[in-house]
Amino acid sequence: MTLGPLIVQSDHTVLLEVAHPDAEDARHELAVFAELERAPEHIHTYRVTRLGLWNARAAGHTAEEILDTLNRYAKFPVPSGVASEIQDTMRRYGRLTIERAPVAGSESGSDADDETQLVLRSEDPMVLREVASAKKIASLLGNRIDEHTFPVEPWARGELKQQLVARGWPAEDLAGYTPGEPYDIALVEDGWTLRDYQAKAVDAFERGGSGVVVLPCGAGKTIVGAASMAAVGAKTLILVTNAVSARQWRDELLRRTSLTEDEIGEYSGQVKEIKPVTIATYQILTSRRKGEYQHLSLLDAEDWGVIVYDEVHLLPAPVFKLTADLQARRRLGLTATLVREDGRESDVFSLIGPKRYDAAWKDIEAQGFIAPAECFEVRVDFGEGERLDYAVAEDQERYRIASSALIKQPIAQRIIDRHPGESVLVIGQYIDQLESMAEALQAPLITGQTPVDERERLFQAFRSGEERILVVSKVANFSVDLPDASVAIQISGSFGSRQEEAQRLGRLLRPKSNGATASFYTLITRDTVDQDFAQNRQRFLAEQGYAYTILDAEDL
Amino acid sequence: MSGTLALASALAEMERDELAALVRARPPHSPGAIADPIGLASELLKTESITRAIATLDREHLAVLAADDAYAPEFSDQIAEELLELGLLGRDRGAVVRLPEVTAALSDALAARGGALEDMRTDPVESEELPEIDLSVWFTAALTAVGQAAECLRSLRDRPGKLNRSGSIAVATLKQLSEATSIEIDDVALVLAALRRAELVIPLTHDHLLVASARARQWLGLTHTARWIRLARAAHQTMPTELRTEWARAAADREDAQPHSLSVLASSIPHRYPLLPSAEFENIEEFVRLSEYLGLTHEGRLTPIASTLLATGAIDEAVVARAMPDAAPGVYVQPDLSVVVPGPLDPENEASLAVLARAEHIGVASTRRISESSITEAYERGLTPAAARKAFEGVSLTGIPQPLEYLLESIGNRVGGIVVGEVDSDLGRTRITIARDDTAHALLVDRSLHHLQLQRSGESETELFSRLSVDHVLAALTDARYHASLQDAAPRAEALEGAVDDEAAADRRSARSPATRVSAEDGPAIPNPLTELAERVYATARAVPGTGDYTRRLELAIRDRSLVLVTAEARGEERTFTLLPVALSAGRLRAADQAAGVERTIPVSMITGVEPA
Repeated sequence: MTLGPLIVQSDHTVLLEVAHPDAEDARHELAVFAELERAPEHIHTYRVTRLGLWNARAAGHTAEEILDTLNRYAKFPVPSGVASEIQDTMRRYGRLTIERAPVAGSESGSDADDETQLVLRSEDPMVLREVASAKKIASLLGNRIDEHTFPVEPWARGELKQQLVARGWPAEDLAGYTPGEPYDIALVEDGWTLRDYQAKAVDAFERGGSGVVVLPCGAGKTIVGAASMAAVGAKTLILVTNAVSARQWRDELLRRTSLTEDEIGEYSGQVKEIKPVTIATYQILTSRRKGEYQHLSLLDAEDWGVIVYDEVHLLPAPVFKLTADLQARRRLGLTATLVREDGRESDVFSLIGPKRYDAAWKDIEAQGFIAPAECFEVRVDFGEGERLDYAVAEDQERYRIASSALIKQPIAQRIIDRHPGESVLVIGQYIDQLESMAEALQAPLITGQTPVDERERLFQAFRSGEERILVVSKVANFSVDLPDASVAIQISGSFGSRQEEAQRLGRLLRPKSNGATASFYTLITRDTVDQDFAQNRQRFLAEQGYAYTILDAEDL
Repeated sequence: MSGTLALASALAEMERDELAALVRARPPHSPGAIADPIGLASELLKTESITRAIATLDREHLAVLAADDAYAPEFSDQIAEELLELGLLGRDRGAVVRLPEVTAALSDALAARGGALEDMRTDPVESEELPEIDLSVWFTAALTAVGQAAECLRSLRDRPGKLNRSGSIAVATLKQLSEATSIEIDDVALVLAALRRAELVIPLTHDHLLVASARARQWLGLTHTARWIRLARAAHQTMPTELRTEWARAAADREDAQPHSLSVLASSIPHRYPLLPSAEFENIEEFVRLSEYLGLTHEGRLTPIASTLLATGAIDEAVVARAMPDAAPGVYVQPDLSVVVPGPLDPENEASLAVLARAEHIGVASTRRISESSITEAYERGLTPAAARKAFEGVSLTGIPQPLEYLLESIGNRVGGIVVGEVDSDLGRTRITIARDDTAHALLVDRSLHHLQLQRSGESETELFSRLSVDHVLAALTDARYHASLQDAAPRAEALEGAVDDEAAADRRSARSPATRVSAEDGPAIPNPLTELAERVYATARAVPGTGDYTRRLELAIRDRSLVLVTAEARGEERTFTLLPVALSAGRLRAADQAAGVERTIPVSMITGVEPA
């Protein structure tokens, strides 16, 4: 037994005692291979997962290093089951590689694309035989070249990686990337500089070639994207969640790089431009007519050197499929969280790439790059009659009734009154609830139906302080840059989505000019299903280390 | 040729306690019908009885029973003695002899398993060199086992498990325990195996229930070291004989200090005991798993403490205490309502916490989760908000975070608003008394409570009745997020006292349960008919003068109605008759001489030989 800060548990969780003198060192080493699950005040919980270990292996770490870290910092011996599984899991990564090999009969030493072919290789014929015998993998391989090698068609590269991960044999993709058409992009550090963690993230991406950068909302992911594009210096396709986000990317690129308006195209429902740097929405890419994807040609419209996936945790399933065909291009995923509500984290790993860089929210907050935030759960009671409506309602209606309790309107007003002069976002799920809330607060409302120009005008008014309160639907969840929002009031949400909670909190985390703490309120109807869902979301906030207080409405 | 006489001879020579041990080990079907050594020998030579008896023998013993001297070694005195004690060898004129029935049954049993008598040449199991491993980590498994056992025991005290008709634990119970304690279902089975061996849980076969025994409370009050020692000793006492024998053999063979691998020893059992029933193999495998689970072995290897336990039957508590971490000074209660327990807790703190927070993971360090339902449940069981707060203050290293403070108070304020009690009324079995009119009305119309078929009494707006049971109603109300409490939940005192009282109350519940009818101290006594049989055979073998081989051969002939050649000597002259014996009494043989057509009576004292005709 040592007196280290870590406790490794047999369920593969690792507990980190934050106040321990060695906690910082241990955390730094732990972050290489374990995912931070919870970071409340005293003990943080990490989980050692297969993907985490493979990510570490992809970054060049070995099982021995990882076990050494755990043994060095662990308070109690590392359970033998955990140690052996770490060794076994890491041993599997890289036993298979996807490479380019000369086509039989071609001049050896030539690396021209037409004289090489993509192959799946392993030094261990047994491993190769095992995976090749799986039906779903066999169909992606050609006729065996020798006991160490199978040919792979370029179209199958992504799907093969997916299937190999699913069978526990992740392949190391050494086949390289098409360089894409060179295009000069330079960062213009005019009054600002790349932050240290942003530079590290760019460097990690550049070295890895493809992969995911995980940074909290407000930590400047767009800048990491821009700097990565500059580092590669090639034509770039940027995929984003919606048109507003596309315009914000454009504005940010214009502000931070040498790119001009003529060089940046938008490819969305409204505009369809293809330029050296093109920003497209996931929606347009996946729109279909008569069963056919209409805009697939965009992917080949230019010889893209990089494809940037913004909010990669939201990547729609069809885009995964399309991405499987784009394995020859460099891919950069940007996200605040690797958690996907659909559990397809392994697809992100195999198709976009391993995690290349990760920075904890609290670390960046401590550096002053994102604002500190306080979270409040305010419990309200149903008004007269509402409780009966709720009691007689069908299960599927109950959440809507509970989360739309009328009492939330005066409570929201009371909260706004507590924050004079601060900009306030009121965020909700149900349009009728939002409409009546907007009316009660005499504030403008932004929903999916609001035209983009109108949205942008309102956002601008909000930024300038002309509008102090905005009522927004879930359209504002993602990629909306509202620098001065310092109070958010959440009146209803997507059935307890942790991801949504992270995004909504992210709206508040841009550093405040006066250094003030942001406030995040959630209004919950007591003893209803609203409370159940809120529990899940708010636990997430506390787990992220945010101060968290429960109040009764009358205590406000 | 029958081995009945030879076995009867051997039985007749046995002492009283030897006979008692034999009939206990190989109980005959109808002990009351057996009068003498011949009768017992006949029973013991039935194929079924032999098959059972030889099933647990090792190769060395089985080889002795094989008939052909080509592959049956000379009898060693010790093995012959053991086989005689088991009634698997006989005596003929003082010499130890094999019994044809036993040899035949052995041959059949081996054939049924694809083996043969000639396979019985004993091959010594080679001891292989095992890589060195660090055995000092055994305590992590030990502490995990102790923590999980305590959690399961508490759960079973509140809600007994179900047994199948065969006595095995119902899968539903394993699942329910796994869910309630967050312990993997395979580990739950091991926890229960450990608890059963330590008699901390006992089966009520009549009620098909598994309940916490009267010893549970005392065990839960022990330190983690003492708890583990209790479990380890109990497990050791139930070590399968075959495995213990193999360990003893290996310990005698090996002079080096390398710890033995219990799993390697277990893997040699199928070779060493070729006729062992599969249930016994499963029992051995379970013991090996249990040993690993309890930390008696690590990666199969016996720890020094376990080796000492096997060799001496004793555990040095001071050695165990030195190996294990001290009790943790407290726990981390976090704002997300998770509780991290950074090591074993003292029993009082552990009990308090168990009442208020549900286990999420139990190990050397554990994590628990406080929730509205865990607090509500604690209040329903009588804990007051003040007592709960005091309990947290006593155990938390990090104070009480605001969200927990809020929960303790807000739930406390609402407990008692809806009270559910049992009632004997035409309107139903359960009465719900509600403090507020509007809540009563909401309950009546609540779609998720329709199945309770609630109705008003007519006398009071705030009293509802259901025909379903109290438990059912309470569960339905809780699911629908109404804070209901049981009418007869006795309020209990302050924090830690509350928790301890809770344990005491649970014990009282156990005491009321039929479990207390079973005394854990009662060992399995020898059933009386067997004791009487042993006494009867012993007495018969010595009661009749002249009893000996001739008498037994004659008795056997009487039973079998078979002809025998009887040689008698009178006045120096010997004559041999072919007789059909009819009776043997008062020292005389009465038999029919069919050749002469007469009935002869011959004093037993004159008989000098009895041979099959």
